[in-house]
Parts: sequence; C-alpha cells; structure tokens
Amino acid sequence: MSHSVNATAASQANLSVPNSAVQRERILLILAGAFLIVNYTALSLQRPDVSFWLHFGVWLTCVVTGHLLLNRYLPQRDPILFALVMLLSGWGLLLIERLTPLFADRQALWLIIATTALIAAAAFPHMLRWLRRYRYLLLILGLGLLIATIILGRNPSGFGPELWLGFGQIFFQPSEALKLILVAFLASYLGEEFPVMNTFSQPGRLRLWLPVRIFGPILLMWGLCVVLLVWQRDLGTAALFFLVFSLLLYVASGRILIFISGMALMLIAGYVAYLLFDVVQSRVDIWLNPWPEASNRAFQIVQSLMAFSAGGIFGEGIGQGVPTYVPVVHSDFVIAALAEEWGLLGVLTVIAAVALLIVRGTRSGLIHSERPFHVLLASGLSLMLGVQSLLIMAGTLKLLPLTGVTLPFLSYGGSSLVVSFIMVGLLIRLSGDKG
Amino acid sequence: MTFTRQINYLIAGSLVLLIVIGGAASYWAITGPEGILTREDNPRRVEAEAAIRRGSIYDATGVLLAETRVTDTGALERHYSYPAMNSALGYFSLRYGTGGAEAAYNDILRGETLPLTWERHWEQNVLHRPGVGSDVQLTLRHEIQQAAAGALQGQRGAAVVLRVPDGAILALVSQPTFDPNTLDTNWADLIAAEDTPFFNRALQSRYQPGGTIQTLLLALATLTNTDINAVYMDADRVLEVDDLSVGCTEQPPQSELTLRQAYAYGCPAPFLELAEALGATRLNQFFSGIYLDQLPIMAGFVPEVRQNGAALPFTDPIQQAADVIGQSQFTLNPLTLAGMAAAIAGNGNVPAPYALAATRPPGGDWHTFTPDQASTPLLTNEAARRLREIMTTSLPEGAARAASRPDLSIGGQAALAYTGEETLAWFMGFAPITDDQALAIALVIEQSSEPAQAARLAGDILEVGVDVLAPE
Repeated sequence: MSHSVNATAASQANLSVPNSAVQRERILLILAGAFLIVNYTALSLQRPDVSFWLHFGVWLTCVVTGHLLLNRYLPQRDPILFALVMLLSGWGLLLIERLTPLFADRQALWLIIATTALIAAAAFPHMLRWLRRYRYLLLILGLGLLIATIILGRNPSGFGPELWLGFGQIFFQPSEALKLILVAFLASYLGEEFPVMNTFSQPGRLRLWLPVRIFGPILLMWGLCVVLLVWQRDLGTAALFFLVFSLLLYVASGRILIFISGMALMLIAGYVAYLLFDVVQSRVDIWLNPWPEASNRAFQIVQSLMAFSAGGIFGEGIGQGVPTYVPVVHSDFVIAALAEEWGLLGVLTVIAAVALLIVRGTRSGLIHSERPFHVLLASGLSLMLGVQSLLIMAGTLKLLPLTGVTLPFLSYGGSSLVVSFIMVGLLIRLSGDKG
Repeated sequence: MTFTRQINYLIAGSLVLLIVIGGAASYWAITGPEGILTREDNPRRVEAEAAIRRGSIYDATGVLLAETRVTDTGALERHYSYPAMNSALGYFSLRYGTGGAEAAYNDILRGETLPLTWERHWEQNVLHRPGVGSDVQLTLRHEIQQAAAGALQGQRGAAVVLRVPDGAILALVSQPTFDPNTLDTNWADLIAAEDTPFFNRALQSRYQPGGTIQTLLLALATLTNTDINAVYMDADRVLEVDDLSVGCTEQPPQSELTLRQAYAYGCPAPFLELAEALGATRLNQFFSGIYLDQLPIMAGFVPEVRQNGAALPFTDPIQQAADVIGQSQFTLNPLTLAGMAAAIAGNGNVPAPYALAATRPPGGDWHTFTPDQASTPLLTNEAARRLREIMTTSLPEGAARAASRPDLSIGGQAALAYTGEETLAWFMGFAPITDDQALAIALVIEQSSEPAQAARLAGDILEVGVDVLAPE
C-alpha cells in the first residue's frame, strides 16, 4: 500500500514538474522516433505498395504507453535504458519489415507482449523480492522447461535444432527464459552467500578455491544446464551461460583467478566439444578459414563479411542492399543486414548502444551497494545482454566462431525479445527503486 | 564500495571488447581483404550487374544487333538478333562475364563512361538506381558479316574484311562459334567442345603463313625496286623442308617464270632466291617494323599492349627454305594479314583496325567515334600501286582466280600452309569500290587443301561488300 501511495505522489509530482530523467528519456525517445520515421519513409518510397505505418504505430504505442506508465511508477529511473531498448527494438522491427515482411506482424505482436512484460517487471514492486526468495522454484521451473524441450521440442522451420516449445502457432524458446532464471538464481544465491565469500576474499586470506558450500550448488546447477544444452546442441547458449556464470562469480568473489580458471575450463570444454561434435568442428574450421568453403559450409559467414564490406561507411541505404543473401539474416546475422544498409555508422551506433546498456545496467545495481542481490542481479542481467551481443557480433565479424545466439532487441524472435525486455525492465526497476 | 572495483573492471573489459568489435567492423567496412566485393561468389555483384540496363548494339547502318529486354518476370535479358554476328559481338552473361564486342565496349554499354553529373550521382550513388548504359554502333555491316559467316559455315576458320583506307572492320567472323542467347545453358558443352568455339580465330589465332609470305616478300621487293620481271630458271621446282615438299600452288605452264608469274602460281623457289638477295636483316626489319610477328591491336578486343609473339621468320644467312615457304616458327594472324591487304589496296599504310563507329548516351544523340590510333607505314604509295597492279593482274590467271568476278578488279593471293599433318588455305586480297575506297580481306580455312576454295569464298564476300558499299 505504501508503495502505491508513493508512486501516486511521485506521479503527481511528475505531472506538475517533470523531472530531468523523464525529460531526457522523452527527448531520446523522440530522437529514436525521428530516426525510425525517416527510415520507414525511405522504405515506403522503396515499396510504395506496402504500408509499414501500422507497425510503426505499434512501436509508437509501446513507447508512449511504456514511457507514461514508467513515469507513473518509476519517475526516478535511469533515463537511458528504456529509450535505448525502444530504439533498438524499433530498429529491429524495421529490419524484420525490410528483410522478412511476413514475420513483421508477429514481431510487432511480440513487441507489444515484450513491452507489457517490461512494464510489469519494472513496475511490479515485489518482483525483485520474489526473484530472490523463490530462486529454487525458478530453477526447477527452468530445468523443467528444458527437460520438456528435450522431450517435446520442435523447430518452427520444420528442420534444424528442436529448441522450441510450441503451443499451436506460438513457439517459445525455453533456453531464453533460462537466461533470466540463471542470472536471478546466481544473483540470489551468491548474494545470500556474499558475507561468507567476502570473508574469504579478505587480504591475507586469499584462497584459490571457494568452499563447497558456495561453489557446489552453483556448479551443480551450471553443470546440469550445460549438459542439457549440449544435449540439445545449443552450444551458443551454453557458452553464454558459462561466460556469464564465470563473470558473476568474479563480481561476487572479487577473485580474477576464478574468472581466468573459468575461461581455461571453457577453452578445454571447447576443445573437447571440437573433438566430439561435428557442429562445433565445422564452426571452428569455418571460423579459421572460411574462404575455401565460401559457397558451401562457410556461405553464411562469407556473405556476412561481404555485407559489411558492401555497406562501407555510410551503408547502401534501407532497402538498397541485398543482405537477404545471408541465410537467416533476420535472426543471428541481423547485424550484417544492418551493416550493409546503414554502414559502419549504423554498426558503431549499435555497439555504442550495447556499451551504454552494459554501463547503465551495471551502474543501476551499484546504487544498491548494501544489497548484494541487487548489485549481482544488475550485473548479471547487463552481462547476459552484453555478452550475448558481443558473442554474435564477434561471430558475424569472424572474430569468434559462430555461436548461434541472437542479437538482443534487433534479431527476430519473440522469446528473445520478451526475455530481453524483462531483463531491461528489471534493470529499470533497479535503477528507479532507490528504496 | 564492495563491488565497485569488479564492476568497473567488467565495464572496462566490455568496452575494450566492444572497441575491438568496432575495429573489426571498420576493417571489413573500409578496407577488408582485397577483392572481397569483386569475388565471383559475391551475389551482390551479379545483382548489381543484373539491374543494369545495358545499352544496345547496332551495325553501321543502324540495324539492331543486340539489346536488353525485360522478361515477363521483370528480369533483364540480353538478346542477340543475328546469328551471323555472334562471333563478332561475343556474349554477355551474368554468370560467365563478357566476350567479343560486349567485352570490348563493356564500359560504354554499362554506362560507366558517362560523365558523373549531379543527377547521375544522385540516381546511382545515393538512390542506388540501376545504371543505364549507352548504345554502341559498330563499323560492322550486317550484310557483309552475313556473307562471311555464310561462306565459312560448317568450316573452321576466320575472315576479316576491312574498309580501306580507314581500317573500319566491316566483317569479323570466326567459325565455329556459339549462340550467346543460350550461352548459360550450353556453357559446359561449349567449353569442352574440341573445335573451341570461344577462341576467336580472327583476332587471337596465329597460323602458318604458308604461301602468303610471298606477298610480303614481293612487297619488300617493290619497295626496294627489285626487278620483278627477271626470269628465274626452274622456278617450279619443289622445295624440300624436313618431310615437307612444297611446290607451286598451281602448276605453271612452263618452268621459267618471272617473279610476277611465280607469284601468280604460288611457286616458292624464286622467292627463296629473292629472300637471299634481300637479306635476312632487311627482311626481319621490314617484318618487325609492321608488327607482323605480333597480335594486332584493336581497342578492347585483344591486349592493347603489343605482345611478344612468334619468332621473326628469317635466319641469317637464309639457309632454311622453311622460312621462305612460310613454314618456320613464324605465324600470322588473319586481322594482321587483312591489314597488309589494306595497305596494298590503299596508300601503303597499314590502318589501325577499329570496330566502334559511334556511341549514344541514354536519351541522347549519336556521337561519332574517331579512332586515334595512327596507321603504320608499310609501303610507299608507288610501291603499293605497283604491288596492287601485280596482284590484280595475276589473280585471273593464277591460283587465286576463283576469286575473280567479272565486274570487279579484285587483287589477291591464294595460298596453302601446312600445320602438322593438316593443311590450311589462305586468301588475302582487296577489291576497289571507288577511287579512294576499297575493301581488304583475309580469309583462312583450317583443314583445307584447296586455296581455290578460299579464293572463291573471299570473292563472294568481296562481291557482297562492294555491292553494299558502292555508291548508288
């Protein structure tokens, strides 16, 4: 009750004298809208027979609704985060519109659901408490979803890895939900054990290994997740989980050696996977030298690199390039399409947006320095979004082997969009909930 | 704060990694590995090429030879109207590139030679609208080309017809050839074909000159005022070269012949004596001075830089009869030989051959093309006149008489050459049209032992040519 009274009071204060954070967010949203209007107009000129404005209207409605509701419930929030994800998701919707128009309606619908989820995650006052308190329940739910995927998994395309659960025509990827669950669980568990860990991190008491009490359940949980993921051949998500797990453990413990050990373990696991799994072997070989296989196995990455080159600095302009030569460009390789049509400037803008997301996201946790769970949750969520972006962008640029994860907010995919929005919703909550 | 240090490190690490990604993106966008966009497996290249509205190709009289049409599906398709023009026009294929005139004038046909006006810059570089190319008018005459292609139908060989004195190419035929309309479908078969249809024999081949070398020796003889009426004893004797026995192309009525008569009957023995008298050094200087040992230069069609080619024919001292009967390492190209014929038919200069008559930008008017390559002096005007007279008067009585036509004063020589186990028949000659205009021709038929056949076909082509070009 006290929360809603506070929120109402804050909202009334906001209506009379808008605070600077709200004003800044509004300006950023207007700029994002202007950017999209220009691009939608350009696309309309390219395809005068198709109307795109309904989807822009959906995006605008999400922006206005989200902005107003967040003003009401969290007027002191970070002014960047919501504007940032709306810019990226609007850009993503535009890209889907341009690349695979048949999917645009569905993506717009997912945007509505995702925005609703973001607002709920940000506005619901007990969300953080629930995540902290019911971590094992969440973990069981996540693992249950994964087991269900192994048994009932399908692929909407009819071929390829069966990583989706289908309900009629609606498909959901449980591993996406597991990202959120994993971070929440780790943050909660490590936050609770923080006093113990802190003791072990004191100067003069430096030890290489954490006590089994801390490390055991986490490793068990992580091992189970990874085994299931490897079983499903969703190696990109497995790598992502492992990286985020190692980083979060480093944040909680303060021991860089843990992170380094984690990386060493990952390399060993990678080498073993290279020996055991054809898909990993193929991806590593292609990464090392794609050119001899440019028309076969390496077609996707070579076309991606060509898209970057074709875009140059300023890009071909929306609708003017041919990024659709990159297979499944609307999903994992959406950044290649963006590079071809918006050029290096567009790519650098996305990179800057990811950087801002990481910085603002992790910093939103630091305002709760006395609450380890809050700090670790903010770091974990920011890292999950940041590392995922890094992995796929590095993959499309041949800096790393391809991992098959999506680029948050930009790639096509409802599960990814909804979960990413919930993560940002929680970050917004963390940034605005000073109590 | 408790976590500040770790989080700051995390942020710093993330930013460093993002900067690396930004650097990699910059590399691919700005520099990239050389040629990534021009790789054959880059579909963007094909896509861009497919969108270009390539200009049309016309013959000298405005007959449409090749054009780009829009298909029912909206795609652009190149269409060629006259099968006889195929070996000259070449081909345009999104998959296999260009050849012939399509390759020679590719930049013009694609519109790349058009000035970069603001409007064009806006259309192409900002809006990325597909380019529209210029039309091209060739010097070829479809009637003469048709006659030459018809003459060589079913044979392996080449024919080149030049206009004298400017060197405009009126016909350029290489047989066998290919159908550019079905190129993509038949590519594999064409590439594997034993008779090499993609090899343009008129421009790229080198053949043993055989008896045609006598015309060149005679040219130097007239230039040096050698007495061509001197009588040579035993002129019809057979020269033995390795396993080869080479005698007169046509048996003369007697064995004592003047050089003029020996030329008419294609008897090599007197020319051996002539070559010895002229000397290898002078002969080789003469041959190399007019680039006989090299492939001809014609903008776009063959490498514009002269390539080192066949060895010059004459050893010093001349001991090898093979040099004089045109059976040494020295080889000749049909276009080169047509140039020689043009020099004889004209004022003694070998014209620089050219095939481009005019260009027309999209929506614009025709701009006449002026060739800028200079002709190469071969003979003096007087020497050319004398040689012309010899070739014209000797034709009706000698080996080339099948080229003779009642209403035309055709001059020329028919000759035989040997390539390994096979023979080939040559004809080089000319036919005047007006006082200051003529046609020059070189024709070669592979696997033929009948110079008369070459002469007859050349006569047919020249007859059509004069008929087409003669003033009303």
